[in-house]
Amino acid sequence: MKQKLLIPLMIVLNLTSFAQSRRVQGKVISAADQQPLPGVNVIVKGTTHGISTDAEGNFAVQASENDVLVFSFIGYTTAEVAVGGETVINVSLVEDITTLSEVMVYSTGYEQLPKERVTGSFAMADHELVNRKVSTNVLDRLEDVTSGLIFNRGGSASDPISIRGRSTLFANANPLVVIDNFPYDGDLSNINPNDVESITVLKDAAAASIWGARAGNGVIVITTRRGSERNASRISFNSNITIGEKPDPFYVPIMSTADYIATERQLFENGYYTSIENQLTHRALTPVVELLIANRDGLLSSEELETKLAALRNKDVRNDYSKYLYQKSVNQQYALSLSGGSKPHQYYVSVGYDKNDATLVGNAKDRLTLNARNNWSLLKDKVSVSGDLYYTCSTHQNNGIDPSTLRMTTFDRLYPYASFADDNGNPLSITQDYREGFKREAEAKGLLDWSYRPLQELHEVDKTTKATDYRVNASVSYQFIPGLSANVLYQFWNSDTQGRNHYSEKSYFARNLVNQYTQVSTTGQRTLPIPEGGILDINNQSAFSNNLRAQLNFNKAFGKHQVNAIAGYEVKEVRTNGTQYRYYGYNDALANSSAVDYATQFQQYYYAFTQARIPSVDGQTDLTDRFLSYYGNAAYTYNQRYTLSVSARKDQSNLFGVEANQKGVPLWSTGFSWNISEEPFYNVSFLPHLKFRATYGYNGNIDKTVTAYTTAQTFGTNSITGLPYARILNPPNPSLQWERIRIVNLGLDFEIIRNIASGSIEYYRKNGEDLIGFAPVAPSTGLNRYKGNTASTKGHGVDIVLNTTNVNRAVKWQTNFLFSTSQLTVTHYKDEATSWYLLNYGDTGGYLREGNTPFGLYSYAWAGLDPATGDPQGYWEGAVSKDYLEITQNTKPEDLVYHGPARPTTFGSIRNTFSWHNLSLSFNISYRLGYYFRRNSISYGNNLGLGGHGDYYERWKNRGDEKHTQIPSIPASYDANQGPFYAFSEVLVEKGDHIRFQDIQFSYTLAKSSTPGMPFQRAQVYMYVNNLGILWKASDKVPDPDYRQYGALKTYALGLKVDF
Amino acid sequence: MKRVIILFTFLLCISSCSDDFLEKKSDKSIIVPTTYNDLQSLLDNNVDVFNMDPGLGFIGSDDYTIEEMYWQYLNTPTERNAYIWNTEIYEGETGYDWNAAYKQVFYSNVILEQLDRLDPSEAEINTWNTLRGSALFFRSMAFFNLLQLFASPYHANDLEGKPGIPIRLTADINAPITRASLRESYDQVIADLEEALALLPVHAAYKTRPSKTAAYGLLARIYLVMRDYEKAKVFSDSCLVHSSALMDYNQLDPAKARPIAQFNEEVIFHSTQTSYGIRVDAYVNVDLYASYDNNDLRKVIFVRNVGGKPVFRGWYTGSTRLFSGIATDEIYLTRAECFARLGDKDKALADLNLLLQNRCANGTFVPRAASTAEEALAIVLAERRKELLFRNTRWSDLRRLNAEVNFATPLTRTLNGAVYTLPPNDGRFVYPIPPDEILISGIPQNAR
Repeated sequence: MKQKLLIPLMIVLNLTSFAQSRRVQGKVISAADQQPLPGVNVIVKGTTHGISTDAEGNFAVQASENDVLVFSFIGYTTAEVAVGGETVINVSLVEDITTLSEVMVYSTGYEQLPKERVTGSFAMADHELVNRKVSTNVLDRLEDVTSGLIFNRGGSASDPISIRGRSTLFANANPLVVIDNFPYDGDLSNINPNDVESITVLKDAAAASIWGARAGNGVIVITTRRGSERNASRISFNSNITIGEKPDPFYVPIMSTADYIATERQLFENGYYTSIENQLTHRALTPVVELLIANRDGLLSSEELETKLAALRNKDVRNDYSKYLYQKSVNQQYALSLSGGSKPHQYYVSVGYDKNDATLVGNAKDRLTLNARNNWSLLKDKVSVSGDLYYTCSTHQNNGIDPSTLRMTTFDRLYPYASFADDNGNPLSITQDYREGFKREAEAKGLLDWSYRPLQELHEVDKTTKATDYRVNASVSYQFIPGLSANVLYQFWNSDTQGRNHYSEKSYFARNLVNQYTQVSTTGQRTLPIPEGGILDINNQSAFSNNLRAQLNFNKAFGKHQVNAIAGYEVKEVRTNGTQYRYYGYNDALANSSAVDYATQFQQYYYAFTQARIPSVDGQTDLTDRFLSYYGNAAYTYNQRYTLSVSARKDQSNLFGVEANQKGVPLWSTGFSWNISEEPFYNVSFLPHLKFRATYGYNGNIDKTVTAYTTAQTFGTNSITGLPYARILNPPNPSLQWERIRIVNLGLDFEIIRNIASGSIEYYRKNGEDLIGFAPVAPSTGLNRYKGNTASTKGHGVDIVLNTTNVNRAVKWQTNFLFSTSQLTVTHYKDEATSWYLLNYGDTGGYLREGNTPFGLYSYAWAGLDPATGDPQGYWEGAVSKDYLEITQNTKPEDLVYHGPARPTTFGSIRNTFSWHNLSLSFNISYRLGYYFRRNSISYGNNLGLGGHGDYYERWKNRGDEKHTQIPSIPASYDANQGPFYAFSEVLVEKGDHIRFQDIQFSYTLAKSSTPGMPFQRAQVYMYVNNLGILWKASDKVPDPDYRQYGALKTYALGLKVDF
Repeated sequence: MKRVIILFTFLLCISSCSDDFLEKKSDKSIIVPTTYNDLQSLLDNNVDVFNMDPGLGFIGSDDYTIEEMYWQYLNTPTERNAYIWNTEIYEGETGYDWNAAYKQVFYSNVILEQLDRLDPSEAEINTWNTLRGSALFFRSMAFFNLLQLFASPYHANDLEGKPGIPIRLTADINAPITRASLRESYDQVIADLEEALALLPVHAAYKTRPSKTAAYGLLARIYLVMRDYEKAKVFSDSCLVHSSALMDYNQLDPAKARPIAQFNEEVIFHSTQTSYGIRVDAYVNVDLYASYDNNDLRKVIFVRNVGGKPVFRGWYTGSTRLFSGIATDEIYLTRAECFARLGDKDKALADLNLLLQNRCANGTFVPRAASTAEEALAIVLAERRKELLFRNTRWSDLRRLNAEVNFATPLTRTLNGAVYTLPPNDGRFVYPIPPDEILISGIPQNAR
């Protein structure tokens, strides 16, 4: 219509220009998806003559040979094309990353909000950013590209992701993950990242409080792809392969094999092994100690001994780890999708297959995802209906042997001269649990082969988990009148996980258990309480949820007034059932097993004085979570300048008490934004866009370990009467309620002229109120510690996003800069942890001290090494002291050194993207600052540091060494408290600050528009390398502060993406 | 508009059934104790809650001595300090006995509150009664035990000004904490038990569960402490009507490590003392040991000779834990004392001789005789000490007998040359309240 009006106008205008002008026509498409772009401004450069493209992206203008056409469209880089002799000019516009935010639409899971009208704090990764990284898991792709979000490394992994720091002390600490409008209760590894359209992170109260009592840790909203009504059927294919480094077993230095053997000899001479040798439990001794015993007992000549020891000295089991237990990881990914649609019906169908071989030999995972989404618009667009199915099935094999779990016995680490295979690659046995002589004797008496061969075990144990997961979504929406609509959404989710651990009859696990329980009578008769054969453990978990939501939507503009409002009601139930059981004497070929006697205590073969029941792993769980919620959200905008928003939600749950359910105040938020640059008085020309935002409100969080009701746990029998009995777990707490996180957020959005830079600066305060925590109570109440709404925290931080276009010519250079800070202090917590707990667990959370961060790193003050002996020295009662007993038992929490947080308080990334024609190169540099960690060092224990950390070689040996080392000498005599003192001393605490070259991405794209004659619309070859290495770090004591056990493994990916 | 109404009607329907919807139990393995079975399971928790009584009374008593080398390695400062009657005993540690008794009170209150919410049917009324009676019995016994340690001895004419203990009648941990007066405290102990009497069955299926007979026995013990001998006699009578058996010690085998069985016929209600380590290293008071006649079987049943030192082994618990429950021997002795104090020396001696007959070697028993009731009383009290050795009654007996010039006993201990004394009616007969209780609840501390 527009075109028809404008063309006559153009003709009229052109009458005044040169006569050589002629009609030039063409089509404008988007470079990214090859879709037509309607509404693009096409102007003859230097004139005001222009036109907009129509719905199909077509345009036609009058222009002469020397003219230049300028194509501009919001969110895209402006293109200039000289007319020359052409009469048809097709243009593909490239999306402008820096200004992409202009057209951003945030999804909260309840509604879509255009960026101009939001008051709250959002961060978003669009399809392109989500696909910049190559990974199997969708959430991995958010790291270092979304502001305020950090992946927690090291320490406890109970909260792998934090948004704006931690919001709780003991309750659930994970952000709520919403997929296609509903919270997802399954395993996120079930989601194929290729199906993801965008990810929105809701950070403050105004953004997240619509999720009420589950929003306290922030919300991650994942929107998956759906068909578009604009395009005909389109097929896309994406495939990549990622190869990862093998872990380096030599990453952490340890005592050499030669020194290990030398130390063992010294310990042997000191009589260290005598007590173990005499133990009736037959605790294993290493081959070297056995040789020394044989030599002492005259069974082995000294020459033979020396020959054998010399041979062992050349071995290092870490070479075997590398050779037999570790491998390069190989991840393959294939994704195929078909999408398209027309007016009444749109669809998106995809299939994805991933196959990953992990770095441990025997660990592998594959995943098949199927996705079908359909939308229909009916009754003149008054009704829209959608139906989606998302299905995942995966198999996870977990047979690898992790070297860190290999030990000789519960008490002793594995000796470094162990060998897994002989020269021909045949599995060799290593000493395990009991002494070799004892095992051979037992075998002679008819017990099963008792040798442990790690390489055999790899093949005789099969631990496989199979999981299926599906979601069915259905929705109907109906428009009553323009502006007022209602929709009903329903989701059914089901997840079934079947774990099957099969230890074959040849496995050490099964043989060892059978032997342990073997009973031998005085006449030599054997009976086997655990029958010969394999052992099968089954662990089945199934979960399902029903979600139903009904919502009214109102959107209306009256003159300068614009109102957007939603109100709704939601009901949800999640049920989880689990059973686990074990079969003994299992024969996989026949699928039969034997019953065992779980009640009788059997004498253990290895130690006549120990009796034990046959281990039973049977158990069941049955959990139900129910929620009823009411919510509403409204925004009013005046004159496109001022927006006021309010949001409230009330949650009721079977976890809360009656009082909290009935009287509970809804969690609410309110926000305000001001488009300053829209004001008539605004005339700052270099800042064409400036917007101020402010919000205030509450998010909630729940802790499922506490309930309002008195709860008790029942136990089978008491020892006196044999009657069942019960113990109260939770005292009645009728006023229990959810945790509340009060958030204030202030933000400024800006844009500098000509897209030189754009971004936002946000400051927030985040206070945890009524946090679940422990509090001491008077013992006359019947308790002395009580878990309830007793704690509070105070936090604040800054999120800065800055996007710049540094060069904008044929070569284009853009920079995305993310900067975040996050500080958290415990302001109220009365159940203060003792020094021991603060030292051991303070940095992993859970043990707190009022006034400090909940993840605090503490240590004993360090007074250097004793110049005379090289002993570590601390302080006791203000003086330099070696009274390790007093220091470790009686140092008060306030006398510990408090270093600071164990988690980064400042973090972010700098991403640079270069593009030139079809080539694009982007690399990300990330940084983590303002935190501390405790490093490992040598612990001498009572065995001269046998097999300990490589610091052993830097230790104090002679007078004067204290000038260049802080590593204590081998203690002259064993003091049980000296090791713990040094391990928790100030000298082993390091700053974690570092800058990392995180990743690099390179792509070469061919589009049909620029390369005619290609058999497909678009093809892209891409390369991605992750974990390139540390660029700078504050501590020189470890190679990588965040990866202290194995190092961050480099991965190399190569992929191909084709749109047909 | 009609459609909007339909939609909202639908929503209303869902919300109206929301109460049931939200009452679904979240985790099946965790019970919310609501049913009679659940409550019985709580009452049957004798693993870490019920059937346990404080051990501080024994520690302060003169039933035993301990040598320096063992004393210095005792597990807790509480034991070390209480042994030598120090003014302060906890050294910052929590009070195990205080905590354990109030845990019983808390459990009892949880049970009583849940029973109030249940509406028993005809068929359930007996169960309901038994559960309520049991909870009241346990609560009463806990309060009584606390009063023996943390409140002044009972003097009928001096009750008002003396502080008792916090009387907790609710499971709500937020309820304010105050010390009731001594009178209020004992009134509650009696009121709970009198109500329990009406609710409990005469005998319980297990000796760990309260019964009417046990409640009579406990009332006898309590009234004796209150020096109301008339009532103590009446309740002893009632108790012995239902349970009067005595073991003939001639039938016991002194060769056994533990000659006396758990739940033997004398036990009416099974309960044990807090297992402080001090009991393991204790020697029987040498003077007391010497007072047993050689024909007295208790000399070999109660005591074994370890390196020339008398070590106690007369447990009525079947284990090495010390008994503190209610048994017929104690009730006979209580009734004998009441008869003597009420002037009936013959009945007093009859009860005593019945007991002693079962304690002396066959054919050696010589009945005790006395010319006056006073004389009988002295004999009964001497025999009470010998019979109730290590039974947790001595501390209360010391406290009440201190009021009588004839029987007041100054206590003395010698440890590594130092002599420690506890004169009659000393303030240290009332233990200090644990420091964490004082700190958090702010209730007044005992003057010692």
